[in-house]
Amino acid sequence: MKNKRFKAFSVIGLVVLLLLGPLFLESYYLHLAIMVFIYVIVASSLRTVYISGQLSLGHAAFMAIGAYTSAVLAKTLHWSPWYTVPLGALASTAVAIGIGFPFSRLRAIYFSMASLFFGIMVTSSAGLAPGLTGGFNGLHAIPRLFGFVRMPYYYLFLVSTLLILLILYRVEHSRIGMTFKSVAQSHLAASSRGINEGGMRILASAIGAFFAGIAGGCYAHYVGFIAPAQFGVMTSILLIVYLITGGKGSFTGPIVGTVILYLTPYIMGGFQGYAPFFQAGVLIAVIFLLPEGMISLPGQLMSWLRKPGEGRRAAIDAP
Amino acid sequence: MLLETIGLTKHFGGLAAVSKVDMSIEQGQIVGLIGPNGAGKTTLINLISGFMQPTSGRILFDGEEVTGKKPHLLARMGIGRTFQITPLFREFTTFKNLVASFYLSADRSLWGSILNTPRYRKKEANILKEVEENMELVGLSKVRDELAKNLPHGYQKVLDLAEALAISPKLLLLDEPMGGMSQEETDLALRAIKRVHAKGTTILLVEHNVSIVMGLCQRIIVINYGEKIADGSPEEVRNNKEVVRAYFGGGYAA
Amino acid sequence: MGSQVVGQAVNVLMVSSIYIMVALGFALVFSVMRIMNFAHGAIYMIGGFVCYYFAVSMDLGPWLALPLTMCVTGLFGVFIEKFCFRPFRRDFEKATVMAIALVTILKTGADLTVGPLAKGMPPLVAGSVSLGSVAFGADRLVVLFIVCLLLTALVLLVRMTQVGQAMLAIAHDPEAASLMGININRISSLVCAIGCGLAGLAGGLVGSVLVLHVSVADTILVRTIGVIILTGIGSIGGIWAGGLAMGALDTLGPYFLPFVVSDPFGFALVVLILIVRPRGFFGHEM
Repeated sequence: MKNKRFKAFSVIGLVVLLLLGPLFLESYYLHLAIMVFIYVIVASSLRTVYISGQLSLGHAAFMAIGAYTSAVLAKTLHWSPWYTVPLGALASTAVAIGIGFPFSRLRAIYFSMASLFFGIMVTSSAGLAPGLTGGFNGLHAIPRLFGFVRMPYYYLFLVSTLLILLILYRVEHSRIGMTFKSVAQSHLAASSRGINEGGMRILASAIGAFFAGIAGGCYAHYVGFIAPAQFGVMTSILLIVYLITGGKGSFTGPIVGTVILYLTPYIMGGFQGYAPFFQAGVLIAVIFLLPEGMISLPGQLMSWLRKPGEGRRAAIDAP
Repeated sequence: MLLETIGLTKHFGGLAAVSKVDMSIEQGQIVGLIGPNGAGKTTLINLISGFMQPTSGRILFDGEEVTGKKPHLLARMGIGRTFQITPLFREFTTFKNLVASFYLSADRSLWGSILNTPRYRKKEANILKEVEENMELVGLSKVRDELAKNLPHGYQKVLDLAEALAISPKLLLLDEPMGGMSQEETDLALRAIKRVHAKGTTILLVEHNVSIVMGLCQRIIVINYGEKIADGSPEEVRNNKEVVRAYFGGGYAA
Repeated sequence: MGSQVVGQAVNVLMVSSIYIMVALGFALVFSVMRIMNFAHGAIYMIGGFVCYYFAVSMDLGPWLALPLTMCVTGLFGVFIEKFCFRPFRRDFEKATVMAIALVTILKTGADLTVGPLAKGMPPLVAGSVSLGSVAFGADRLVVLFIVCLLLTALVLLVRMTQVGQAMLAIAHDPEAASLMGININRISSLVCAIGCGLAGLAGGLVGSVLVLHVSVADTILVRTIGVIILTGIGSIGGIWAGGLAMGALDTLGPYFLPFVVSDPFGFALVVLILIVRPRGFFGHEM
């Protein structure tokens, strides 16, 4: 009971901080926060796909589809971003469902391979219709939602992120999420209990793609400029890094991973170019030492402190 | 007739694992399926439950043509099964395994899950009740909070059985449900199977232990080299010359 | 007309042979170690730059640089087998994550040291060769020749030597192989060395014919996966077909469609094949 109350208070405290914080912060920090919101959405949407047993190495492609669809519609047809962002998300979802039919048949490692292939395929398609999409150099002058003031974006994205996280939380902790996790653990058992395991994997991919598409659209209409390189293999890999280092076993894992790993390079100041080394290093450290991710660090530290010798051995021997 | 197979055949390359098997099972029966190792019993079960596609032949369930239908659709029609290698949701507890297995009784819509609608909540509450009953029926209540992967082998098999019951099957295909069990576990499983049959479920039981099958089943089908060689009451089968030859002349290790 | 065909045929053969060699390395590692080395493309890229370093920066010339490159990437293969892949032989998820950590490190390293510019290397052989009325660069023929030589050596290694048989045994059934006394660690080490060595060498070879750029890591990886999908998982002997198809698509595609369209078009074709025939040309059922 105490634990729950503590958790509730800390969440409320965090929300208050998030709501009031920007009133005291410089615009630059608002920008960082906005980017964190966007990537938290994408990383959490990746987790939804992950819990169904599919490790997608091409998830950034769905962000790209959402971003480009929304940007092109807004720029060429002059539709409002309030409409084009959801449309972009729907485009992402449609592609995920379409590609899901052949891909959902693939077992674990083959799915990862195919998803990597798919991700590269999407970004290499930037050359099609360069007049519309700006080709490999990118698309400029995308209509922004609120002009160049950062504050409105901050609050809009804060609310959106909280809402989306709430939805994804419900998805994971409800019957649907349980079914995803069942399918991940055993195709045979799931099928024989009446679960359409292929369909469930497609559904998970569709949900993940939808919210990645939303995030992509938000990105496009905030930054005002998108290029294929922003949604390529490195980004997809980065999302996996956020997911795994944060903690692959918990809903808050990707959130923690994104916040810590996205912000740290900015603390590194001039060494930003070396940030990927840091991120890869943390990833490797997590794999070997802390398999359940950074979110398990407090728990692990507690058990190490309580039983120094035993705990340490157990943590290293843990699979 | 609940289940009927007509000329059911399955080839793997040049090898016929199941060859022109005709069989029919009436509602309420408990039928045994026996035969030497590698005779094709599991393949037959896989064909009936949709996990393999037949090369030729037909399967009818409850009067409907179900040949080649996908396993989850057959499960929804009422065909349940257990497996030789128990595929459980290993990271879930016994309890959660069962809750997950009652998928068909749940509100399966996306909106129900996300919005936590009253209909969704009601169905989940019902499921919790049914899970308790189910655990009582098969005797798993004391291990409800153990992770499935940590359960002793015999309990895993019983859990597999319990999960199969979650879909309220009309026909239950049991593939060696007592394989590798101790005497105590075998008794537990036997009691569970008898209770399930008493409630009206039709059962097709594949089992190596011939004496169990003889004692439990009203009717026995014998398969050898993919072909049906006998079909009748335990006495008839016991005295069938071909069956005897299959077991003792054909290299069966009892 | 005839001369055009011959010229294009040589191009297709050269490109295909490279794809075959790279895909073969990838497939061998997967068969024997059960691990998909997603860093394979990055190693190819590194091979190109290492070759440049030896050939140009250290002025050793391409003929010395190429075997050196193969040694460097081969040794790197031994390193990553021991520290990145061996601990996770049974855990595909962790092995995949290790591979992508490698990709990150290698690509970032390249970004920081080499930067976004393309680099060129001197050709292996200067001048051109004429066949009838066709003239094309002799260096392409030489590359084709070298790759065919290596592929032949590889096939002989696998078919005729004990080591090769050991590889096949492990690919078939690792437990049985270890029970028969085969040292899985040592063979895995060798296979990874070969796979990475060949990938690095291919990077160097292509660098001498075309250009070197950090983006080749992705382009070769996506084509390698394309070859594997076309060939079908589980088939190694059929990679020549998948490689040829991919090479033909890549080389001839730009003739029918503008380049920026033919790339994604080729990929879409691969996806189509995946839909229509998931087993690929030669694969088992997935």
